[in-house]
Amino acid sequence: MTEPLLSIRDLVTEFDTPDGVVSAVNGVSYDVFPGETVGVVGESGSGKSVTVMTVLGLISQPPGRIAGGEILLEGRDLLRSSAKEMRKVRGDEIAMIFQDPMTSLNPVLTIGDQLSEALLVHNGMSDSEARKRVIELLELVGVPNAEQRYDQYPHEYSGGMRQRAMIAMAIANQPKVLIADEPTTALDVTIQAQVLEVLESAKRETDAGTILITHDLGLIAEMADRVVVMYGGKVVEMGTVEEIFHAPRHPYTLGLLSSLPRLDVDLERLEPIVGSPPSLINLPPGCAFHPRCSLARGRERCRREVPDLVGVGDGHVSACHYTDEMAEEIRRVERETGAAFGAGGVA
Amino acid sequence: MFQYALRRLLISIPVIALATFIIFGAVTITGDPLQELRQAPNITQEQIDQIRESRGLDQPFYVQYWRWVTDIPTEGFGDYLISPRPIWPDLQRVMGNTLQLVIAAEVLAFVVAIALGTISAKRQYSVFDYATTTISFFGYSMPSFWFALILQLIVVQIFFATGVRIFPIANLSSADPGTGLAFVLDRMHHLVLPVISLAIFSIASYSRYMRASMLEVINSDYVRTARAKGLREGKITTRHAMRNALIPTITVAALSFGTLMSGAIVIETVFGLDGMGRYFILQLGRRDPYPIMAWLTVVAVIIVIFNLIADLVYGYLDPRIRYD
Repeated sequence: MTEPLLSIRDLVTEFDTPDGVVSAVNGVSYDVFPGETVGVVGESGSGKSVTVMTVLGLISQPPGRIAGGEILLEGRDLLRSSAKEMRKVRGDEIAMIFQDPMTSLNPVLTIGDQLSEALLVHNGMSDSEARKRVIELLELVGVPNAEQRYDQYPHEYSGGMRQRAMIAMAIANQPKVLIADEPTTALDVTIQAQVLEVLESAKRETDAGTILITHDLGLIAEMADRVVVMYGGKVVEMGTVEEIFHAPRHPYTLGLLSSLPRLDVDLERLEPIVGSPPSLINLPPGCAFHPRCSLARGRERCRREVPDLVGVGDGHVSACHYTDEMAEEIRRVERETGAAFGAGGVA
Repeated sequence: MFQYALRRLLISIPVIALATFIIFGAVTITGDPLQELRQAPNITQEQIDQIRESRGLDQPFYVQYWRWVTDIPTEGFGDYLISPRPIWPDLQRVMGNTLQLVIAAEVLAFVVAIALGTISAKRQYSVFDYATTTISFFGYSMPSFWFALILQLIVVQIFFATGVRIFPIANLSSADPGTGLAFVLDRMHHLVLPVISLAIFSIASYSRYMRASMLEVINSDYVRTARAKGLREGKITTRHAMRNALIPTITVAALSFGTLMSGAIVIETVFGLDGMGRYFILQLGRRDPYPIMAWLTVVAVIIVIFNLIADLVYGYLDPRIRYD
């Protein structure tokens, strides 16, 4: 196996708040290999965004605190890098596409200025070279009339165009790792499809390892090679996109899948995950998911013991005490909702 | 941008026209300008009748107004009621002096307030932040003449203790100010204390606005984007954060320019400066409506001009406004 490009190891990020310490990220580990897309899914507050913000060093401290772990970019630990070294990593080796293109661009600077700034800060280009390159980038992401659009302000761009510009900004320096934090959430569906296409081609262009954060499982199915499922600041399941979608080995993943409306299967009903996401100040003891879990059935072990991530297949891991009961659970859900996961593959 | 500027300029014309009407109306209803003359023992009824005739005081209100307002472009503001001296040269002199004071105070206040507000916001809840907000609360609460007196007192005490006159505590110029650069330096030396006392209130007020809008901007998504690009912190602050945070602060500064002008009246009195404030109080005592109306019109025009400048700066800073 090749070496991972980016390796997050046992990362713990906490925030001090008046109500107590919020453990937003609670021992998260995952790898990103060159050229692959890792999809990170989970509810709001599962720690998926905070993890990548920590990778980029964008957590303000205080109130944030990185209490442990390592973030290795090609073997270098970013958490031990100086502020100056981190500045060189940001936007150059690791770039990020943010969720809301409406607010993520500076309203008082032209799009061209904001994009060329990303180039100028990392390599000694002249202004006219940067302008030329930015116009190329804008054309690449499908902004028409890039030459004129260069001198326009964000308010003269539509939402989809702004997100294209954000993507162009992120890939400007051919980053090794591209992080897209809910890149399509703020856009309407038709624009989403176009932006995804741009994202795909941008990824091909740079051959960057990509982290795609979303709560849209459809997006994951389409774009990701591997999937990381997060819950309560922890990774609860990780596997290839096929494993996660056809043979989930964690009841939370199954819950996410069975609450997803699908066009390809005639569902009788959707099965929601009962309850609400856990408070990160006061995580439930044992398995954080047990109060909402359909598999726990009040069992003592779920309340007492924090489950470790254990291998359930080649590279497929799950943090559940009862992964061996998952095949039966999937059949139950299939019976009750009419969903078909193709669970024959589950051992 | 040119269209925007032109539109702003055109809008100010009816504003000034309306202002002259209100000024004339308000001053006219305060009483008969000839009343004072009637009580004067050495003025005959003929003289009073002659003044009434020449000023058109026997005409209806709108005729008087029209006469007054149409004479402004050609004759300045005419003569004083009794003495046949023109008003405009006096007004011009005091206006120049006051503008020196007020503009210097506004510039000082703005620059200091932007710096204080920005640093306060960048280091929220630090000792510096607490100190600045507390002191600015104090500066906001105390009247400017109090600061003026305290500053005078300090300078006088230093003179008693050391025999050095750091700053003059009265007048605009020395007895023999010289010419050219020497005159300018002498004037600046005299204006130090008045400018500081006048600026303190504005520093306190603007810096609080700057701090608040800076705090909002620092946590905005586009500042996070700038950080994610790998920009230096200083560049993030100046290029991305401050430019946005200045927009509301400039509005406040422009709107407070009138307050600063009225503050100048007090400060000029404390420091004995030959400015608009002193002139106004002097003319008010004489019950002569013409210099009062002239004064009010000039102040209205000055405030309109400063609002216009603020609008232009606003348009420069925020591209969303330029094209509306």
